[in-house]
Amino acid sequence: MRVSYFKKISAALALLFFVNLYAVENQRVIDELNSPMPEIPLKQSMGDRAYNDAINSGEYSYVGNSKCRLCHRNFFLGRKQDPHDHAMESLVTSGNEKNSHCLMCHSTGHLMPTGFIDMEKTPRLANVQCEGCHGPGNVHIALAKDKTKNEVKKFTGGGFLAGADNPKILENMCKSCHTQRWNKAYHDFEKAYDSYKNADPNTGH
Amino acid sequence: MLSFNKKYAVPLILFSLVVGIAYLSYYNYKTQKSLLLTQLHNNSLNIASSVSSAIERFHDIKSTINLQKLVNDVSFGLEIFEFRYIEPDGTIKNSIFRDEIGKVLTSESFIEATKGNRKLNTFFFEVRDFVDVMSIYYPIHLENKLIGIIDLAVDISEYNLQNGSPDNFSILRREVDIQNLLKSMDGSITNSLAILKKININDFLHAYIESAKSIIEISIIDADNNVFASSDNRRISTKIKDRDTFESSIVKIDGKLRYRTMIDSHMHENNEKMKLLLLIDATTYIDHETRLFTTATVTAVIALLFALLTSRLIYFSAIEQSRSEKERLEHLVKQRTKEIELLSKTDSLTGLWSRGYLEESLEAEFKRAKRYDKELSVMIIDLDHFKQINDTYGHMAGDEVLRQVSARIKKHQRETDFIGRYGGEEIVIILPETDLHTAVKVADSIRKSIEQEAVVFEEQTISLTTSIGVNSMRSQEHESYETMFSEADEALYNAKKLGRNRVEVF
Repeated sequence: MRVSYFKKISAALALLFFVNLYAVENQRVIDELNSPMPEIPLKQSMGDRAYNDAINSGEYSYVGNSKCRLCHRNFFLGRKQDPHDHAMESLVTSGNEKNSHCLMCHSTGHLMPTGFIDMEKTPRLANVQCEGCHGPGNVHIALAKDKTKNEVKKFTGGGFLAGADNPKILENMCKSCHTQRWNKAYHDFEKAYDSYKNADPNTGH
Repeated sequence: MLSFNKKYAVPLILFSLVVGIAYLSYYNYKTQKSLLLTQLHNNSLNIASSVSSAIERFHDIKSTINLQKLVNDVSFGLEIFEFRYIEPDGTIKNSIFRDEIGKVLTSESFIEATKGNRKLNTFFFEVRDFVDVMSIYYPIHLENKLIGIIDLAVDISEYNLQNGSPDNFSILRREVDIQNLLKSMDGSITNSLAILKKININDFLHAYIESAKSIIEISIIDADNNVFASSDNRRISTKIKDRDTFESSIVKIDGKLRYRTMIDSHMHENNEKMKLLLLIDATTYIDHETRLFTTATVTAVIALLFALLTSRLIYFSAIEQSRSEKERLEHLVKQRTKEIELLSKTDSLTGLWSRGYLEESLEAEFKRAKRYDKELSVMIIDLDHFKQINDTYGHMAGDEVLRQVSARIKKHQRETDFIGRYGGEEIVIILPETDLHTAVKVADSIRKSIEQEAVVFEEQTISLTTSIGVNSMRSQEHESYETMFSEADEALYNAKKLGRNRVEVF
């Protein structure tokens, strides 16, 4: 009897906690939707001019992460267990899956040429994929295929607008979505970035 | 040294010309020869590269199909997610993931398929790498025997995201596309394998050299110097001893000339250390070389003959030229000597005027006397028996006599008189503005002074006398000095005839 009473209390407390948590979460969403439309993350990270030059050249296009998997299979497996790869789910449950304000950070390359439009037209660019943080991947793939362009005939990376060779832009990419409001994943950027980069493919952490 | 240079200049130049031409033709021969060798080597490189690429095609066929390339090339928009070629025992022969080639596939669905619990060549849905896929295990048969399985999976995750269940129509359409793709691959794989089974690389190499006449043998040598494959069956599995110190060269094999060379194959990645040993027919090369050598030799010999002929011609023409030049010079010298004699005014022996000058003076005096109506006399003095003096005392004595007599005659000379040696022992005196009477007086005193005092020569006393012919100008009679002079000469002749040592007048 006492036990069941205790159980009831703890259940009530837990309910209160989760309701409260939900209210906090909900409040953030309301605040976000009331704030002005955010800038495209890549544009925000590179600066207007560099972004316009790159995107208007027509050289860059999104390819989708199944192409990345051909070479980065372990990373692909790891990311499958990472919230980034499930970013669309929360939009679907909250009915915001067509809201550009949200899609800016919950999809890959939204409002950019060849980027995510909606689930019917571009299902393969849903969620935050590899290219969501690194920018269009077609040039990277072209370089990887054509090893003869490289002196050592071994591909050493590159071809991204926000690749590892541009750490500042890459950091800006993270920060453009993980703002003060949504900064729940990390406090120390370097540490968080390192652990993300070298995540265990089996657990994603 | 200078004369040596002059003497041998022409032969030296010709000799160096011959040497130069011979060297040039030899140099030309050498260059052409090395050019031929380079050409031969380039030919063998071309052969090697075509053989290599042909062999590489073999490797391509062997590894069935370059799947990675195929996935990239597939334009079906199939979103191929996984693609493998597996041997019946599960070994992955090829895959779009390079690092799993050679490993054994252990996926649940594949194990089911190999155990017969899952039908081959039938589509099914499963999750691979957290992604919903539609898969198929497609069997490849050759002569009714299962030789491999194609494992193909396409990403269909978007259909699930879209509305929770696969869209039957679009799935069906994809199934048809994939079936078509698999059928075409099946065809190409079985074809390749069938060809591979029939042809082996040795036969291929043999067929290759059959089609190219100049190639005698092609062998492929592996990193351990073993002959891996060869167009010549006897060579297979033998060892090449000098692989590392091998030099491309022309060698004699079974009595025939062959160019033997070893070339890196540049073949498949796994065969980097393979080398190609080529034997190429070198008889045409030798033919060319012989022809080149003959040309060079003939050129040198022709140059030599030409030089010899030229030097011979130059030699003869030089001799001819020098002979005619010598004659011309001799003639010239004679002429000049005469001219000089005439031109010189004094006689070198006696110091008197020379005959030429004497005649000039006589002519001038004759003309003057005739024009101004003046007297002019001339006398010719001749030493008596002068020939005997020469014979008795010698020519030196004769000369000395002439010298002393001349000096003595000079003592009688008046200021305006001309005394000259007319020739031999004859001395002529021209006496301007002198009448015959005075001239005879002078002549007589001269005759006396010579008769009175003998000439002493080297302690010998030589007594002598003179005969003198005198003549004076008579304006009406004498047209020229020659007549007057010949009259004086006649008077001298009279004096000689009348007994010598006397003066006679014409």
